Amino acid sequence: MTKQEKVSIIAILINLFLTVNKFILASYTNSIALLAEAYHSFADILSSFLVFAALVRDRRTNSSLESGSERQKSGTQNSKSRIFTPGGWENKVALSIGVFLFIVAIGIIGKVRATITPNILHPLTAAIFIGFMALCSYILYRFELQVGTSTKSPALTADAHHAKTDMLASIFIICVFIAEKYGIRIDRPAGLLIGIYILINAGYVLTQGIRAYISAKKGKIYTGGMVYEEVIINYLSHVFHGVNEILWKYLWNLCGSKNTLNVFKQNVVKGIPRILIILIILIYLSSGFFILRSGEHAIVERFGEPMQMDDPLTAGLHYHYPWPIERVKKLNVDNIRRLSIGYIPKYAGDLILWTNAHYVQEFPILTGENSFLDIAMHIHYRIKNLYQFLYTSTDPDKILEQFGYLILTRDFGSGITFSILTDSRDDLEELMKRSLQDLMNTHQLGIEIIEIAFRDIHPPTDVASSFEDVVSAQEDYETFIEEAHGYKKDLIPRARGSSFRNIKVAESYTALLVEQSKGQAESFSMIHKAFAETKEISRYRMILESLEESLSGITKYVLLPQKKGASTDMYFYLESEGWKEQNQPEPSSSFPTTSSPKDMSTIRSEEDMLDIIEQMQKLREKE
Amino acid sequence: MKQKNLFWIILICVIVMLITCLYQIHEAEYALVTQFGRPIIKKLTFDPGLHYKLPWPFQVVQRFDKRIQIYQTPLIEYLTGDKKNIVLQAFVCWKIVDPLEFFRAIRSIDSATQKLDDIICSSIGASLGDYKMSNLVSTNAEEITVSKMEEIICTRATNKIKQSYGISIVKIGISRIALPEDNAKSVYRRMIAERSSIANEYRALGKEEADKIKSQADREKSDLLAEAYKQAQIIKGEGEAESARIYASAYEEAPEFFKLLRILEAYKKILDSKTTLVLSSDSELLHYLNGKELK
Repeated sequence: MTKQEKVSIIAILINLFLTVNKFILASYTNSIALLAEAYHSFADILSSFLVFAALVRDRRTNSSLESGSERQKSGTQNSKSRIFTPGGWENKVALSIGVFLFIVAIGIIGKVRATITPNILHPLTAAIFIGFMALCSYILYRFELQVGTSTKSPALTADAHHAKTDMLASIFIICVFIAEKYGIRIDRPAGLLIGIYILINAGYVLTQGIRAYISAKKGKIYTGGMVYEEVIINYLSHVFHGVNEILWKYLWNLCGSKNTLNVFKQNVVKGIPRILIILIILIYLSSGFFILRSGEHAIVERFGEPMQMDDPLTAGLHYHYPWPIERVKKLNVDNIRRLSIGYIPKYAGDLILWTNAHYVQEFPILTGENSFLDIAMHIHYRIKNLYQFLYTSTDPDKILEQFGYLILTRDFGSGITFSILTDSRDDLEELMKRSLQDLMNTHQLGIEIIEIAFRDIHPPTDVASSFEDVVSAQEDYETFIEEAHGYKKDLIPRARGSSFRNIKVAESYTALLVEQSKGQAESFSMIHKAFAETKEISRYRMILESLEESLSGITKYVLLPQKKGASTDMYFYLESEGWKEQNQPEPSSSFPTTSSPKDMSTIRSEEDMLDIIEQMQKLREKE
Repeated sequence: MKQKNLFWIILICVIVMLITCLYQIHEAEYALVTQFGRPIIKKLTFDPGLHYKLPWPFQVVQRFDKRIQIYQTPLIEYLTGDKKNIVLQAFVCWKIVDPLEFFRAIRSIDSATQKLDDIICSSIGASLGDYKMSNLVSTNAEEITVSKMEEIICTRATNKIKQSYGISIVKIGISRIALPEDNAKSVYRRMIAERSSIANEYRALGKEEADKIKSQADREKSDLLAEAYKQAQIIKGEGEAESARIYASAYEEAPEFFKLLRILEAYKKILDSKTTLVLSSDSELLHYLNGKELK
């Protein structure tokens, strides 16, 4: 195996390693550009493999021809064209690579066009990894170039340029990632660029393959032109060279150096390490600058010893000796912090009702009456003394939380449930704030309590409904009273109306009576006046008229004159038909007969008579 | 060339060893220098800043946090002096005061909290026996002696750990007082009963008030009607009296005629269609029936 072959095998292995890493990184970071670059590296493996195949073939053909320095020359000259030997398997492989790259390029361009692309994750870490890979590519490039030039193998030189483009692409992607870190999102355009690059690559390989195939069919040996990448690289290095020269001249003129341009260049290049060292020292020193924003306080520690105790540094630009001499501890002091006590919150914006469980967990607090209350309390606080806050306790927030529970338990342990729920809330907040502040002061935690607020206090959810029932009972109380008032309001006006009506009725009755009596009195007087004139006649007429009027139409019985010593008999006319039918038919109606309903034809006494009258009346009523 | 390399290697080693001679002590920590694992009492430093020691591996620095640590005990059920079960959770603020002792006896924060947990829990249990439930939870604020109890627990625990642990207890506090599950349930039941009695009272009071109002209204109504009735009667009486007077004044002029008219009127009314009249043929009305002369 020749040196070239070994190199090309190493190249294949390195490319394989890089490709796998790039694919893994691409899937981690979600970067399209990196994915495209990974495919590009994959294509590189295949081309490295082809170079290897070409080298092997060269060696075999050459070993059968001749030896010496000539071998190298002719072999290397053919190696490039032999990749595309028509009908050979290399050509087929090259063609299939072209097709593959073509598909990949289309896929990447499609991905770039997709509307939703995820954010790039861990851009900086990825950038460092890719930097390492770029370094690998660079080493490979130098190595292959060196071997390629020393053995005069254009295939290896071409592969070296491949590695160089790989490196450039990696650096490009590092730029993309760093830009991403600072919020400039150029991942998509970069992906598109690399995609297009792969597309051109594919097109080139395909056309070369097809042309080689056609020329082989015609019986010619196809000798390809420059490798497409060499064209780009040559152009780029040309441009770079031009820019480089211009810059050097500008610098030379600027310095007004007496030496020639080349000497100046050498001097500058010699000075570069010194400049670098100075730069590094400057960067190290400037790492001591730090800016405090408004509200931020900081304490500088020199070898662990705080330099400011009671007057920490405030907002502005400050300087400390760089690590490891001095370090800065800074915290926002004006910022009001918030601590929840009594519950573990579920999420904000939840409807808080007594009867629904609205937190992940609530801790019932025992009140003085031995009953439970669920309490959600918030402590608002801020750092009063940064030195105390940092150096008296390991976890001031946890201590504050525990002290909050302590105060809560103690103060609610003497409270009356209902008054805690209603009227003494404000007092409790104030009291607890004071006692918590006292505790903070005695233990020198450097914390200032700004506010204690009960977000909600309520009986445990198991019993909350009975508490709510009390409220509805209070409503019922009001309702009953209102109903009674309604009843009263309905009743009294009606009563007033009816009594008014009664009075008016009485009045009208009275008026009627009086007028009536007046009228009658008047008519009496008038009749009397007439009566007085014809007294006797009128009197008789009136009696008779009245008798006529009153006696007509009524049943009458006429009694015969009573003889002395004889019993009283009664004679009367039988007028009624029913009577006749009931008794034996009497021949004459005018004939006076004695009649008796109960076998009594003669009425012997007044009682008998009344009996008969009664019976007759009943009969008439029946009719 | 080889000698030069050797020189550089030795130089780097020396520098590294010199660097390990220096050590920083942070404001929030103690440092204890140990020589092959044995603490050097002379080198026990409390002052922050830069210090020196023999290079690694001869001497090593052990660091201990100087600041207040907090530890929270789990919820544990205890028995109070009046034989009531109660669940307590406490926290303890403690700090390392004697790093040498701490290094010997405990070494790490984790094992310190374990030992503290044992001591605190036993101290709470022992102290709680002297207190009643009402000393912990009561509506009478004077009766509550939680703070005092905390102090007693603190001194008890301090006495236990004083010499041999190298730590001091800053504060022991009871963060939660609760009841065992079953007791809590009966408390819930009692709370519900309390509430429902209050609710019932409100409703009954409402009914009472409503009844009062309604009966008052009824009373007012009857008063109104009675008053009206009275007035109506008076008015009627006056009218009747008036009419009687009018009649009387008219009739007084002709009492004979009035009597006649009134009798005739009375006849008309008395002798209605249902009347059965029995007349003697001797009566003046039927005088002519007997063929007699009209008088």
